[in-house]
Amino acid sequence: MNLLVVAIDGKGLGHLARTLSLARSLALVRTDVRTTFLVESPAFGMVQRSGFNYAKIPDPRHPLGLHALRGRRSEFETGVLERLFDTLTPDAVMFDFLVDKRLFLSLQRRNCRIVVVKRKLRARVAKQLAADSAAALVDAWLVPHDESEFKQGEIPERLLRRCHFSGPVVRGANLSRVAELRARYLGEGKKLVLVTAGGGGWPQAQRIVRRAHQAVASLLAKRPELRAVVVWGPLNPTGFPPEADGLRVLRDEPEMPELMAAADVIVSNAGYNTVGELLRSGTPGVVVPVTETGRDDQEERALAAQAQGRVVVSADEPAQIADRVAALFDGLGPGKVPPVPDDDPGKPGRVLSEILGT
Amino acid sequence: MFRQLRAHMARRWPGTLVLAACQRAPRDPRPESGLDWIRLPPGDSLELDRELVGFMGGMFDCRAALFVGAQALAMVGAAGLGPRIAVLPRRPADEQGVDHVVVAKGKEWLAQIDQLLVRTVPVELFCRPDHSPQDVLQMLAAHPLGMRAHELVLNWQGVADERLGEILHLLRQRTRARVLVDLFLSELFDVPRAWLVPSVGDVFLHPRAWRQLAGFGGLLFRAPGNTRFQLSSDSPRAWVRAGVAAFNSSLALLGRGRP
Repeated sequence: MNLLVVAIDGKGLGHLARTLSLARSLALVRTDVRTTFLVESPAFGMVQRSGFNYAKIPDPRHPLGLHALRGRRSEFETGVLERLFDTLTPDAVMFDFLVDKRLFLSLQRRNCRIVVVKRKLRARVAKQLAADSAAALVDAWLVPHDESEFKQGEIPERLLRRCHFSGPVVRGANLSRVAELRARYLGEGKKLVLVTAGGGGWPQAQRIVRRAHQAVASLLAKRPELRAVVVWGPLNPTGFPPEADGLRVLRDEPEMPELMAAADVIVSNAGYNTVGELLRSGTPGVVVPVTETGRDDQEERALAAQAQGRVVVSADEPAQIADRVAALFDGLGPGKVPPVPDDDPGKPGRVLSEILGT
Repeated sequence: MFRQLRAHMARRWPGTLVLAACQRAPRDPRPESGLDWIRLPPGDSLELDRELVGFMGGMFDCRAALFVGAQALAMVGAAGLGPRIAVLPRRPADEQGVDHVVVAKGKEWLAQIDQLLVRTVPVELFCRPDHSPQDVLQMLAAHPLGMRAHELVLNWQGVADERLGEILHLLRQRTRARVLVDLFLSELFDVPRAWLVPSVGDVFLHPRAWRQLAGFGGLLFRAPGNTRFQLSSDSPRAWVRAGVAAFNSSLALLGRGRP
C-alpha cells in the first residue's frame, strides 16, 4: 500500500510532528505500507531525520512568497499535489490539515482513500467544517484524542459518523537520552527551566517565548541555583536575545521530548503537541495559552491539563510567569514525576491501519 | 559553489525569495529567511522533475533561474522560468538552452550574477500601514538596486488608506520605478475574519468595510501614473477567486491593473 502524508506546516511544527508520530506508529503494526511525506514546511529536516521518504515543495506561506503566491495558494497546492499524485500513485492520502474540494474530487477519481487528521476544534470552526462541501468527500477523520474528551454533540453529527478516535498522538521521550540532555544543559546541583512554544513561527508563540524569556531571566538573577534553556523555535523569523550567564538560547532542539523530561520546570504555550509532550515528560509546567481566536482552543486545553494536576496556567505576563515558576520550585504545585511510558505505541497506528484497510 | 551563492543571495538580495531545487537536500536544513527548498522524491523521472520545477517556477512568478553545476543543466528544459543562467566551474561545450553562462572562478562571478539578475528581478517591499514613507525609502535603499530599481512590487499588508497614497507619491518623486501594489483581500478590510476567508457577512455587512472600500477607490483615482494595483486572495472558494479575478479585470480596464 502506498500512503502519502500531506502535512501543512509553515509556522508551527504541530501537523508535521503529529503525522510523523502517526507514521511511526503505523510502521510498528504494518510492514506493507510505504509512507511518503509531502512537506511544505521549512522544518522538513524533521522528516529527513525520521528516515521516511519525502518530497519538499515550496511553502506558499513563506513570508517572501507573498507576492507570487498569496493570491494563488490554493491553485498552487492543488496543482503541485495533483502532479505528485500522478507519479506517486497513492492508495490513500492523509492530510493534516487541508480540506480542498478540487483536490478531494481528484483523489476520488483515482479511487484513493482520503483521511484527514482533525484535532479538537473550536465549536464554531467544527460547525463551519461540517458545512463545507469538501468535508463530505473525506472517507475518514482520524481524531487524535480519546472520545471521552468530547462532550455530547460537540462533534457535528455529519462528521462524527466518519470519526475514528486514536487517543493522543504524542512523541515520547527516548529515556536513554535524558541523562545526556540534562548533562548538556545543566551543571551539578542545579535546576533547569525550559521554555518552548513549538515551531515559533506564529506571532502569538513568539510573544509567549519573549515574555517567558524575560520571566526566567529575572528569576535567574534572584536564584543562582537555576539554569534556563529558551528554545525560540526553528521557524521563528525574529532575532534572538543574546545568551546570558546561566541562560542558553537555542533556535531548535531536535530532542525536545528528551529535554522536557530532563528539565525541572517547563514554560510553554498550549499547542496540541507541546502540552501532550509536557504531560508525558513527567515535568511540571507553567502553560501560557494563546487566547486569540485560532482553530483550536488553547485555553480549554491548558485548563484541561491543569485539571489533571500536572501544570499551572498563567497569563502571558512576565511577572506572573516568573511567580508561577518560582512557586513550582518552592514546592507549591505539582512536582516532578517519572516520565509517563507509552504502554501502547502501536495504538494510533492500528486505528490508521483500520482506516486504510488492506 | 551553491553554498557561496546561497550566502550571497541572502546578503545581497534580501526580500527576494530564492527557491533551491535539489535531488539531495542538505543533511540538516535550517529555515533561512529568503530561501525555500524543492526536493523531489528520488527515483522519479527527469520529465516529472522538469514539469514540477517549471510549474512551481511559473506559480512563483520566477524571474530568473540559476542552474548551479553541470548536473543541474539537465533541468534547463523546465518551462515557466525566467532567463536561464548556468553557473559552472568551467565553460560548457554545449550552451544550448542557456541564456547566460557564469564561470564560478575568481572574485567576480557573484557580481556577474548580480548584474544579470538586476535586469529581471523586481525589488519587493513588504509594507504595513505603520511604516512611514521614510521607512519605505530606507527599505528600498537597503536593496542592492536601491533607488535605481526599475520595477517595484509593494506588498501592502493592510487597509489601502492615505498612508499608502503618501508612500506611492514619495516613491514617484524619488525613483523612476514602475510600482505594482499587491493588496490582499483579507487585509484590505480591517474587520473580523471568519475561518478560512472573510465571509460576505464579515466584510460587506460591516459599515467600516464600505468606508475602507471607498478609501481604496479614492486612492485609485489619485495614485501616481506609474502605479498599478492587483488584488490577491488565498481563498479556496471558487466564487471568491472569481470575484477577485473580476475585480482585477476591472482594474485593467481602468488602466490600473497588473501589466
